[in-house]
Amino acid sequence: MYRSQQLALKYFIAAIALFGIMIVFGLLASAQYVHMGFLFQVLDFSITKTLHIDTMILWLLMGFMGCIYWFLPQELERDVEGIKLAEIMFYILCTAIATVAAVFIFVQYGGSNEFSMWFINQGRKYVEAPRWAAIGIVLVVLVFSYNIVATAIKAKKITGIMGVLMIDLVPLFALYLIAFPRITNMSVDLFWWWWLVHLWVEGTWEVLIGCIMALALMQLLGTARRIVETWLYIEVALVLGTGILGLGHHYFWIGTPEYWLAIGGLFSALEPLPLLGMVVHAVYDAGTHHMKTTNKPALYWMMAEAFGNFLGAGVFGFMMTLPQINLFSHGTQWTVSHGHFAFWGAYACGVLSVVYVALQKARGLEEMNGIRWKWSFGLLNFGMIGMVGALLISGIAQAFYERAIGGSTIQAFIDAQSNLWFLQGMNARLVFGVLFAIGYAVLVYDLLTIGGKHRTKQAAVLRPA
Amino acid sequence: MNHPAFWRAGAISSTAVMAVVLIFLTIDSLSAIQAGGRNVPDYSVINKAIGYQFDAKRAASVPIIGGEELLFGRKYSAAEADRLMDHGKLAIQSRACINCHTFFGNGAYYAPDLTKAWLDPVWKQMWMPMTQSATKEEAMVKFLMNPEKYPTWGRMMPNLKLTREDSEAIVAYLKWMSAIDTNGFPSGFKTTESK
Amino acid sequence: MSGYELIYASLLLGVFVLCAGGYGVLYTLAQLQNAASWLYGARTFYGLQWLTTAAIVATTPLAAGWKLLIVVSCLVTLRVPQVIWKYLELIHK
Ligand code: HEC
Ligand code: HEM
Ligand code: HEM
Ligand SMILES: [Fe+2]
Repeated sequence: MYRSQQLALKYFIAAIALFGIMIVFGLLASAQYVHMGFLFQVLDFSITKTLHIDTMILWLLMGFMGCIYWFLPQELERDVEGIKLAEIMFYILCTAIATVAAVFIFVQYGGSNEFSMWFINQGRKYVEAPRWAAIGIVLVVLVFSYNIVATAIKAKKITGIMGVLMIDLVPLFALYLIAFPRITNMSVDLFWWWWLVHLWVEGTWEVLIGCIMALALMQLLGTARRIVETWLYIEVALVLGTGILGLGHHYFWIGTPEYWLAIGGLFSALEPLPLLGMVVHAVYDAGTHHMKTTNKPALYWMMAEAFGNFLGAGVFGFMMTLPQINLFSHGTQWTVSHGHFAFWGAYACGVLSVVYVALQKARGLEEMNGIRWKWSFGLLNFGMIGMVGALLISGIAQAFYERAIGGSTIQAFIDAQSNLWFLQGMNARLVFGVLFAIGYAVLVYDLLTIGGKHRTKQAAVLRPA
Repeated sequence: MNHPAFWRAGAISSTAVMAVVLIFLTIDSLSAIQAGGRNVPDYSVINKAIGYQFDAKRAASVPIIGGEELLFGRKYSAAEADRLMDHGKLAIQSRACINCHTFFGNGAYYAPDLTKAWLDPVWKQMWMPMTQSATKEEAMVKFLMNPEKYPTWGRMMPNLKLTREDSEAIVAYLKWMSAIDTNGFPSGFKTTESK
Repeated sequence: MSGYELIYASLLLGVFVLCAGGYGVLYTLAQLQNAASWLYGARTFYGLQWLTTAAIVATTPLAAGWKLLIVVSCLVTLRVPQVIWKYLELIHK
C-alpha cells in the first residue's frame, strides 16, 4: 500500500465515526419534534441540528478526501507529494472538528459581536463553524490541492479524470470562501449562501463524485479508461449545463427578481436528465458484468448511488422545483425529505462504495462478501426510504395545512405542526431513523470484521509493497 | 462523437456559457436586492407603515409602504438605521436563529417562518395582551428577551440571552424584512395590516 | 393553486420522472438480455409517462409554459434510453 492510501484509511475511519455522531444528533433533533420540551434549554434543537448537518458535510468531505488519497497514487503510479504535510493536516482537522463540536455543545452561542463570529458560531446554515475553524478548513483543502497538483507535476502525467478533478477543486474551494463574510442584508446574504450550497451539491460535488465513481468503476469492474473518461465528460457537460442556472430554484422567494421563476424552474427541471443517464449507465455496466465481481458490497453501494441519486435528487427534487409548487413546499419538511434522500443517494452511498473498494485492497481479500454487509445495506436503505417517505407525508401535510389553506401565519404553522398526518410522519421518521441507526451499527461491525481470519494472512503478504 | 476530446470540449463550453449567463444575471440581481434596490427597500423603511396586499396583475401579494409610523417612538436617521440593521443581523447570526426558524423559507423548520413575522396578526391578538404591552414592537421585544415566559404552545423558544438592545435591533430587522418583495412568499399570507 | 391541486400536481410530477426512470432501466435491461418481456415493460412505463403527461396538461393548474416543458420532455424521453444505449455500445467497442 502507498502511504497516501494509509492516510486514506484514516480519513475513512474518521468519516465513518462522524457518520455515527451525525446519526446520534439526527435522532436527538427528530426526538425534539416528537417530544415537546426534550432537552429544552439544555441542548436545544438549533444545537442538535447544527451538529447533525455540520457532521454530515464533514464526513462526506472527509470521505471524498479519503477516496482521492486512495486512488491518487494508483492513478499516477507514485506516492503522493507532500504526504507528511497531509498527515499532519489530518490530525489538525480532527482536533479542529472536536473543538468546534465541544464549543457548540458547551458554549452554544455568544453575544452579538464579532468575537462570536470568530470563535463560537457564525449562525449560517451548514457553515456555522466559527471563522477560525473555517480558516483551518481552508488550510486543509489547500494542502489537499497541493498534494494533487504537486503529485501530478512530479509524475509528469495527467489523466482525463485527474484533469476534471483538479479543475473542479478550484470552484469548490472558491465557493467555500462564502463562509466568511457577514452580510447585513439578508437577501444578499442568502443570494451568496445559495451559490455555496447549491453550486456545491448540484455542481462541484456532483462532478467530484463523478470522478470518484469513475475511478472506482475502473478498479471494480475493470472498465476501460477511455470509456469512463468519455462518460465523465458527458456527465459534466449535462450536470453543469443544467445545474449552474438551476441555482435559480433557490431564487424564487428571497427578494430576487421575478425572472428567476422561469429560469430556475426551467433549468432545474432539466437536472434529472443526467441523473437518468447515470442510472442507465449503471444498469448497463452491472448488466454486462452480470453483477459479477469480487467485491459485492462495493458494487451494490455503487448501484445504490446511481439509483439513490436519481430518486432522491431527480424524482424528489422535480416534485417541488416548479415555482408554482415550490411556493407551497418551500421551507417545509418536504424539503427535508428531498434533502435526505438526495444527500444519501448521491454522496453517502458513493463514499461507502469506495470504503469497501479500499478495504478489499487494504486487507488483501480475494473476495468481499458475507451476510453482514447485506443486513447493513438493507437496513440503511430501508431506514432511509422510510424516513424520506415519512417526511414527505409530513411535508405535504405542512404545505397543505400551513400554506395552501392556513394562510402561512404563526397560527397556521402551529396548526400544521399539530396536524395528525404531520405528527404521524414525525413519529414514523423517528422509528425509521432508529432502524437506520441499527443499520449503521451493523455497517461498522462489518467494516471492522469483513474478511475475518483470511485477512491477516493475506494482508501480510501485501504489506511490504 | 466517440472521442473523449469531443465531449471534453462540450463540457468546457457548456459550463463556460452557463457561467457567463449566471454572472450577468447575478450582476442584475444584486442591484435589485441591495437595500434601496428594485425589490428590497432602504433600511429607513423602518420609520414607515408597512402593509401587505394582493396585486392582481402579479397574481401575488406585495408589500405596501405607507406613511410615517415610528418604531419605538423614534425616527431613525439613515445612518442610525444602517447601524441598527447591522446589529440586528449580528444578533440573529450569533444566536443562529436560522437553525430553528426560516428566513424567506430558508433555514430550519422547527419554528415559524420569520419573513413576515412583523405583519403577523398573532402579536396583536395574543402577545400584546400576554406581555401587557401597548405596542407591537414592545410585545416583540418582551417576547424575544423572555420567550420561555410567553409560550403559545408546547414547543417553546429558549431564552437566548438577548439584551434589550439586541431585541430592538431584531424587531427593526424583522420590520425591514417584511417590506421586501418576495414574489408572493409565503403563499396567501393573511395579515391584518393590509391597508 | 388549492391544497388538493398542489398535492395532485406534485405527485404527478414525481410519477412523471419515475416513469422515465422505469422506461430507461427496463429498456436497457431489454437490450442487455435481448428479452422482449422487458421491452413490453419499458413500453408500458413510457405509455404511463404519456398518461401522466396528459393528466398534467389536462387537469392541473400549472402554467402553460410548464405544461409545454412537460410535453416536450416526454417526447424527448422516448429517444433518451435508445441514444444512451447506442452510445454506450459505441464507446465500449
Ligand atoms: C431552539 C430553537 C429556536 C431558536 C434558536 C430561536 N427560536 Fe424563535 N421560536 C422558536 C419556537 C419554537 C417559537 C414558537 C414559540 C411559541 O409559539 O410559543 C419561536 C417563536 C419566535 C417568534 C414569534 C413567532 C414568530 O414567528 O414571529 C419570533 C419573532 C422569534 N421566534 C424570533 C427568533 C429570533 C430573532 C431568534 C434568534 C435570535 C430565534 N427566534 C431563535 C424556536 C427558536
Ligand atoms: C445531488 C443532488 C442534490 C442534493 C444533494 C440536494 C440537496 C438539497 C438540500 C439539502 C436542500 C435543502 C437546502 C436547505 O434549505 O438547506 C435542497 C433543496 C432543494 N432542491 Fe435539491 N438536491 C440535489 C438535487 C436537486 C435536483 C436535481 C433538483 C430538481 C430537480 C432539486 C431541487 C431542489 C429544490 C427545488 C430545493 C428547494 C426546496 C425548498 O424550496 O425549500 N435538488 N436540495
Ligand atoms: C437516523 C437518521 C437521521 C435522522 C433521525 C435525521 C434527522 C434530521 C432532522 C431532525 C433534521 C432537521 C430538519 C428540520 O430542520 O426540521 C435533519 C436535517 C438534515 N439531515 Fe438528517 N437525519 C438522519 C440522517 C441523515 C443522513 C444519513 C443524511 C445525509 C446523508 C442527512 C442529511 C440531512 C440534511 C441535508 C439536513 C438538512 C435538510 C434541510 O434542512 O432541508 N440526515 N435531519
Ligand atoms: Fe438546488
